[in-house]
Amino acid sequence: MLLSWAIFGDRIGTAQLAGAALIIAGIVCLALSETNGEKPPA
Amino acid sequence: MSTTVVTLWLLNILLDTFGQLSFKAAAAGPDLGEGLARWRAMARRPWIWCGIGCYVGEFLIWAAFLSLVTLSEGVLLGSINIVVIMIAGRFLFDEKFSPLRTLGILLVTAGVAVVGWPDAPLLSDRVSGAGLLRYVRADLLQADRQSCDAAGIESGLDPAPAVDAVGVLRDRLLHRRVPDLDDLARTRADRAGVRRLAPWKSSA
Repeated sequence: MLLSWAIFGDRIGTAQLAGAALIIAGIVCLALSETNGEKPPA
Repeated sequence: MSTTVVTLWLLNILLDTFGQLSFKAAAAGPDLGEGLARWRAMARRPWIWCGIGCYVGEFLIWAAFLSLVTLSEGVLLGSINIVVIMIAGRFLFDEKFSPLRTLGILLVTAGVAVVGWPDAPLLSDRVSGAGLLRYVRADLLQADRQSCDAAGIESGLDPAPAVDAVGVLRDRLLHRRVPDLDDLARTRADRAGVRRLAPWKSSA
């Protein structure tokens, strides 16, 4: 998203910023669930 | 989002999900051997070719999708693929969800919903001035009505050309062109709007 803003001049909306923040937070959670070696419930 | 965009988006999700599941089906199994032998065994499985076919199709759909939305928006909307694939993996490959993983899925879904929400407020509208132009248009229409009422004549101002004028200006602003009100007269639809606005302008 940042590159498309820098290279293609895409306009970044508030909804996009909020959505990106939520998506990144979600991906961080997914990554943490892996790196912490969290055992999923059987 | 238009119907075409939504259709392409859904097709992309479908192809990406099916492709990922096909790759997983091709790669799963302890009887595939190790090293090069494993790759050969995978190449003999139809699933791997099914996955490659899905990815080729997805590439074409994605290119069409990106021709209709901005890259930044498309990439964010494409994040939902993660969620769909994980849910499919849960049912087809019995991959379990931990609480943290579930939270991650919910956050990603919420993020995509925010980006794809119809008529979501866009910062770009404010930056480009399109949001402001909507108010300008409303003001112009109201002023025209008032001036015509005062003069005792029928307004006759069709809102449609004014809407087009806003669209023209918005497009130009989005393409980083300096807005020029005289440009409005250069399009047929706008010309009609400006002519009708002339009595209001001269009386002001």
